[in-house]
Amino acid sequence: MRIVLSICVLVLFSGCATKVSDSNLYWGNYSNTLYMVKKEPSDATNAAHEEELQSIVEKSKEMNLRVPPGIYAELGLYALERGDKKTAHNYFIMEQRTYQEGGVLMQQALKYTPTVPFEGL
Amino acid sequence: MKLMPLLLLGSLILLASGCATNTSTKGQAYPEMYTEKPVAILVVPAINHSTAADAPILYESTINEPLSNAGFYVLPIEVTDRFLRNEGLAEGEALKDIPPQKFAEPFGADAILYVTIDKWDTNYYVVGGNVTVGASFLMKSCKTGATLWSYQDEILVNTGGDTSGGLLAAIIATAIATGMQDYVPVARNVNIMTLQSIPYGKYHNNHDKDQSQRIKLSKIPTK
Repeated sequence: MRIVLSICVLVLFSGCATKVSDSNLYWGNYSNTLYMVKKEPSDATNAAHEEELQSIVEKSKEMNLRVPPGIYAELGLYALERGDKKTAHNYFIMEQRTYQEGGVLMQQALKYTPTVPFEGL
Repeated sequence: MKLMPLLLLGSLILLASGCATNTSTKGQAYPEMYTEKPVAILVVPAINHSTAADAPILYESTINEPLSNAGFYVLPIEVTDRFLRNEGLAEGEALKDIPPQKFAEPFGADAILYVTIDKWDTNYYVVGGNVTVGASFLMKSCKTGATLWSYQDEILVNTGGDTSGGLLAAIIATAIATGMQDYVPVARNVNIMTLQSIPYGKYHNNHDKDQSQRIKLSKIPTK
């Protein structure tokens, strides 16, 4: 009984901490930080959104979930804007490996990060 | 006893009005979604006919999450936006005249999602407030140009009215402090509610199993 109860408590708590959709995706605070970037673009709002993207990747991995569409690609854009082509390249490849449907678009994005070999993340 | 016919009549009227609410199944309403099975969706900038200047960015910030949750691969909007802007296509209005097939090759898109925001009306009451959002969603095939899914609705989202006073007070305080209310949850709700009628995509647990799911029919936009 005690085990059942503690499992219930665990399930309840995990339910509160992380919301996962029917497509098994974890989004964190994505829409809010993205909106702030669009509404008031600044170093602070961009940093907050990039941090959120990284946190979504980490939490998704922890929960054994597929990283949601576009998250790796957005991280790639941030790296590209900083001039870090190597990191950008790796993120674009990760987007493509996670979703084959993004292959064509990511090939376009990879034109901006030429001759950089994929090194994994 | 004379009440009985009246009651019967009342019940009949209720029944009839119940029938007037148009419902269908996903399979009947959107058969092309099941034959074509689009996966990669290109989301283009919204056309804004409302008085809220912010509506398009609210839409664009909150569409990736529910559309992906419905099982689709949303082509990374921040990336496609940059490409579209480079082509001088930052405005939703300009994109409407381009045949959807043109986007298949450069983006690898199976379908395009067009959205027009017709209305974004905010109401404040003493005990709360709400936002009425009117929007039309239209998904077109990049293979044939045909409409695969469409939905038009006016959705009322409550933004206050919490009887405890705590939440409402907080919302008002935020609105006063920042000069703006947080409409991200409103936009997200509109997108979630609208997407309830879309047949699930490849990455959803119920993909290709939801043909018989009943949905409320909308006025379907024709273009």
